[in-house]
Amino acid sequence: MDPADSELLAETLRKTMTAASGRVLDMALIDLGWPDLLAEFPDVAIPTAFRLLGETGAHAPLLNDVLLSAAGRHPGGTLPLPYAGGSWVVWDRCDQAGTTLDADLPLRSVPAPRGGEPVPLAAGRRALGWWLTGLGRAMLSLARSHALDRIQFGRPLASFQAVRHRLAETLVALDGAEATLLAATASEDDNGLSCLLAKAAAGHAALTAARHCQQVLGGIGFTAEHGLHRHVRRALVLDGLLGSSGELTREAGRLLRKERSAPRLIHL
Amino acid sequence: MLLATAEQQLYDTARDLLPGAVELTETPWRSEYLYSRAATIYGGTAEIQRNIIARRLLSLGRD
Repeated sequence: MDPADSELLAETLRKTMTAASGRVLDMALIDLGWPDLLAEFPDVAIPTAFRLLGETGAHAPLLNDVLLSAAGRHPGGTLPLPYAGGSWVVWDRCDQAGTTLDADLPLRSVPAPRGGEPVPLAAGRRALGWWLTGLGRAMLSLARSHALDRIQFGRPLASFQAVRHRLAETLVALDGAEATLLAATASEDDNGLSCLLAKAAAGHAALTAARHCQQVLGGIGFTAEHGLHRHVRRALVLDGLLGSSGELTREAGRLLRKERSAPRLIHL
Repeated sequence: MLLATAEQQLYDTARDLLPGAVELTETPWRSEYLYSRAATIYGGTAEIQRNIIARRLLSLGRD
């Protein structure tokens, strides 16, 4: 896929995700050829679609498709997904309210599956990483606009150094996490360490964005009328899916201790 | 200043030690975690408090 095609794909997906969410979006993406894109151009389709889910605030059960497709199965169904703390969830393909902190997502807890095929975590962790950094960008955009528009003590919030530093830290965390996601896509490590690290970095970056952006938005960021809380809830829920940033960081430490060396995952 | 930060650290630690408790189950941990995020905002934000400390207690002048 050449750059012009990728740009056209991003534009089309953004328009579709701005207009629809949930079941309707799932259907619209099938009409747009999502299953074929996933099969033919996964390295473009997955980052683009998941980043835009984050940026637009829409949701669709695409994680199922990524995992099914990575397992060599047909997209379109669901499968049990490991969650933080040894829990399991299913991401339903319907508009029923979920039971997690982000009730907009049709996610519900299920008992741990007995046996069954292993979940191909690496591809799913990369996809979720892009969703998390997309959410971070959406939060940063809201906080940035507020800092420019809101006047306090006779000047815009954006002119206060404490506010500027928080937003700058957020951008650094997000750009850093995206760099690890790109490295994980290019990496050929077979134990999935680069994808594990990228998901940990993305979860950490999204939670950093939530903390700084919520603080910069102040009281308005706590109201139901303001959009921030949706992004914060989603970032917390997606961070726990396929392993939270805290758990994955500990897991990376265990791997390093077992191997007694740190593999070179990228050449800087 | 100290209490606001301590409250957030307490619930960050709880989220770390009880994985999934905030996200998956409707327990007091969920509402307490979310409400703790406001501790550095209500009653004067942490930034305002630091400016007051710098200006009044440390006599650093206006910023």
